[in-house]
Amino acid sequence: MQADERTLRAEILAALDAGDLPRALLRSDTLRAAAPASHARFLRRELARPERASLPLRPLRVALLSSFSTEFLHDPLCAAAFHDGLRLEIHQAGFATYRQEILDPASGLYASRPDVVVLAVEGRSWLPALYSGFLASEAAPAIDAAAAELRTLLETLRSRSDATVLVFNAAPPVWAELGVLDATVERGQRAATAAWNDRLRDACRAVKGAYVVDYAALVARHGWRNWYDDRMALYAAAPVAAPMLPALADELAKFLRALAGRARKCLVVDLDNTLWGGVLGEDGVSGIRLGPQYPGNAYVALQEAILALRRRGVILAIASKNNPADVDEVFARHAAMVLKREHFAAAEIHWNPKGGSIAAIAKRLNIGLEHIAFLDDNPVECEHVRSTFPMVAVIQVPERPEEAVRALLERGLFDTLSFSDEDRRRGALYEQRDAAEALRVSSASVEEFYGSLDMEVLFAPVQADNLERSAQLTQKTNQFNATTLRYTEAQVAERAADPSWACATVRVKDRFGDNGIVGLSMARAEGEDLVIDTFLLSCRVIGRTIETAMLARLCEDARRLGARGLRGRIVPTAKNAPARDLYERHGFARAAEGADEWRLDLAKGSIAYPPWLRIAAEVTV
Amino acid sequence: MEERIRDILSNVLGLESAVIDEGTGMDNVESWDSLNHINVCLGIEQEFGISFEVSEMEGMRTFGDIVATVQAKV
Repeated sequence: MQADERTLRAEILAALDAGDLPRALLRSDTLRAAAPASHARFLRRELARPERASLPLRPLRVALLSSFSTEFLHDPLCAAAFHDGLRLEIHQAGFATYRQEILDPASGLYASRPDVVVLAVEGRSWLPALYSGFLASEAAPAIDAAAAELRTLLETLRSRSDATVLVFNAAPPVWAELGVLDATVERGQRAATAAWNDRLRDACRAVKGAYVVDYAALVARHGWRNWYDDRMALYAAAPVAAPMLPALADELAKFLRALAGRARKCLVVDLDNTLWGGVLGEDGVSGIRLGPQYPGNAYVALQEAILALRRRGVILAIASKNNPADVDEVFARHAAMVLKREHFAAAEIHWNPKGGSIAAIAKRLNIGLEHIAFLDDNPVECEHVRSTFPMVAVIQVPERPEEAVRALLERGLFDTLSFSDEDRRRGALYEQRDAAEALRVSSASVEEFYGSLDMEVLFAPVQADNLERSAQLTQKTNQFNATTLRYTEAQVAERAADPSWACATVRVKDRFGDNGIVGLSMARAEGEDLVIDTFLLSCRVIGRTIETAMLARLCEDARRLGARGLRGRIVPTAKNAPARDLYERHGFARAAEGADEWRLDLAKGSIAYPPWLRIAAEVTV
Repeated sequence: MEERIRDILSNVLGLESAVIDEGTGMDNVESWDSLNHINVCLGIEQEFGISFEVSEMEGMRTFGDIVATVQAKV
């Protein structure tokens, strides 16, 4: 072991001992770059120690089902996940037992209650006939049979677990039996693998919360000669060469990171020697390297990659030490600029430290530092940002400009599985709702139905961690929405911070899972009443008496604020029929003849929580 | 070189470096099972940029064996 490796380990240990996770991550990053294999082993062993249990890492249970020895993947996978603030608990199914594990309801797989199930099954295992003794005429029926098997396995898995499922697609055989002719014949061996991958994708798409891991592309990216270790494949059923295991772990970590809501939403870029070659202040607008010739074309390529990120929804910002007028001139006059000034949501162009620039951008855009990535060529700036804000992902532009695109993209920092956390879970939720519908039919009375749902209602004040969702709810909810007032995050935040307002989010869990935040109420003390400004409920949970609990809670709020009545109004829209009788059926009296304004006199009546709901205050982690 | 091998063994097997001697091996270290043996072999391959034959991997059952085998290859 090199001396600096020893020092880094000691520093990581000291940081872990002190509970200083950001610092441990910082050092761990450096160690990982220097010695990935020993880093992974070291880190996994250290994290497993009982005294490390209190580190603020988010636990994630991952079940590995595979057709090959995936034990060797544990260390790099745990290490990669650690860098996203996750503590993995791995359930390793027995070698090639993935079918039994899924089909047997009493298997270790289900007992491990996984959040994520990885189906690391090679093409050869699903379809041996595609890999040896290939007969073109038999490929199609074999693929049909394997697709049916996969579908059954996925449906069975989904019916018993709401875990996210990651399914490896098939890497083509290294050596085609027809040699060079395979690519030309009508039904070649590699074409058959591609056909299987299409079916595998369809099978995954038919099940909510299942995603394809593009193993074929991963292997291709690294190359067969590097990827496979035939010796270990035959000796220990471990086909992936040891030096490639971190790459495989990183690929899976991209999914885990996205699932954990850790994808980066904003890219902050430097300008000089990042978006173009040279230093603007010295070389001038006409002197910077940017255009069709090398090295200018490398910077054009990077700008194109950044623009593609923007199309994907990544917010762009600039942090540059430059003269603002010079920068304006580049944007206005340089013909080869792919990125335009309007592509950037914020710009900090001055001579102050970049840590402050990033903080200002985060504040301005209302984005957490943990969702920001920073791209800069200067190692000093990178180190400064890393040590000031360890939660910012720092991407250093390599010395050779042609390597910049790869550096930007290969970690998959911006990869998401959907647009928002709530969107991500929507698939699973629709399924839960379907199951709830089915249950309703078999329940004798509606009260029995409510009881059988085993519902828990959690109220939380509107605050930073649910602001985005709260605003999103006001913007998206059309049906059960009393007033259909649309608010931005800033507007919601303003109301939530005002002591005369009572704002609460509502989260509902039931026996089918966690529906997430599905309701919002915002009310303001006015005169002697508490007046409901916003009252909405996602259609996922309509018809479950959640609104009654919300009104009960508002009665409590009203009393706490010293109000004598609770008032609300209905603003009819084309879509909000489900909310129209909200106040009427809860005993509110019409405030004025003909108006859709309602009042509940708290001296005369109140609203009770439905007995089948468990009411709790959200505990903020 | 011995130091680097010792470090890999200690890291893979969770042993203190100081307790590893010539005779430390699969027969007297509980965590040195067949899975970890492969981890040890692959770790050494990466550390020294060498490649073992399967027969060499099977022949290395102690720290002493490993040192001798690696010495012959580098």
